[in-house]
Amino acid sequence: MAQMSWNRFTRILGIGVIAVFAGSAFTPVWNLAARRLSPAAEIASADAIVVLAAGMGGESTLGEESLRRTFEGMRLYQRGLAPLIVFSGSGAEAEVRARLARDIGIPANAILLERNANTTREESTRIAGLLHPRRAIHILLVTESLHMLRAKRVFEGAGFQVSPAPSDRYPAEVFTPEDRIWLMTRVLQESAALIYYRLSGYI
Amino acid sequence: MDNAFGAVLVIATSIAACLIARRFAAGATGSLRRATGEALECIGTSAVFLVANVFAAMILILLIRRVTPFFITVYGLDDPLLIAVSALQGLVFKMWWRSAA
Repeated sequence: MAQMSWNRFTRILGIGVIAVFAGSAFTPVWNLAARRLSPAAEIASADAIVVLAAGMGGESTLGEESLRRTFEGMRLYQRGLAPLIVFSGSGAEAEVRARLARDIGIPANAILLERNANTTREESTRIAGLLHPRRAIHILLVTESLHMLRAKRVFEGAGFQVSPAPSDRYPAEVFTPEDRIWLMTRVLQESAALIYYRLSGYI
Repeated sequence: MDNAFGAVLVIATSIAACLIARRFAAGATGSLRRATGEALECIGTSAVFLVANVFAAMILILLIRRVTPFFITVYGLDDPLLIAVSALQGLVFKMWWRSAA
């Protein structure tokens, strides 16, 4: 009896998994969900540009996402939108980003580094410690579009006025089935992280 | 791979396998409907293991973060290996469960 119930349950679940997989891969349902996690870009003059960490791709090589955010931050700086740029990243990430920025002509005294934060919340408190003494309150926050809602709220909680500057446009630009499956996993990850941050009282 | 090409390829090899099995192993094949049902049960069982693995890992990671000075990122949970291992767990569990019947 228990075996029949289990078989029926797993059979229905199996149909559900295939339906969700097909729906996720071949419809824009996760693009719509991703839009809810991605506040619109508000590119404006600010006191500082803050580029959040994304991880290394190797010992001395930035990961793809880290490189994308770094370039977006440097592009905003080169447009003259802020006098300071903060690179976050534990390990070698912040240092590698800063070297890249100096190589393309951003002055060393405009670059600040945060090397010890492991989470978005830690980044917000440590970067507040770096920027608030310099009276930098309004920031252009550079991170992945799907991470932006949580990052924006946690940085606002740390006392910043945040203008989102997403480094990508995933909700509008992801179309292939494999990319949509990736988008589904990222939306689920970020939704879980948002719930965790809310339950922990971080946002 | 182009999606339409992939779909045509899978349909073609499935039909070919069906024809070959019927031609060379007539009588050894059972109901296709029953086989599909059992495959769905394998997928469902694997999904249960995947959810259990992800939840167990998240709890373990948060516990390690709270009670030790070590930091482990939860982003590691999107490793495709976890899906493959969960599928294997589901398959073995299903076979074991069926063999008891």
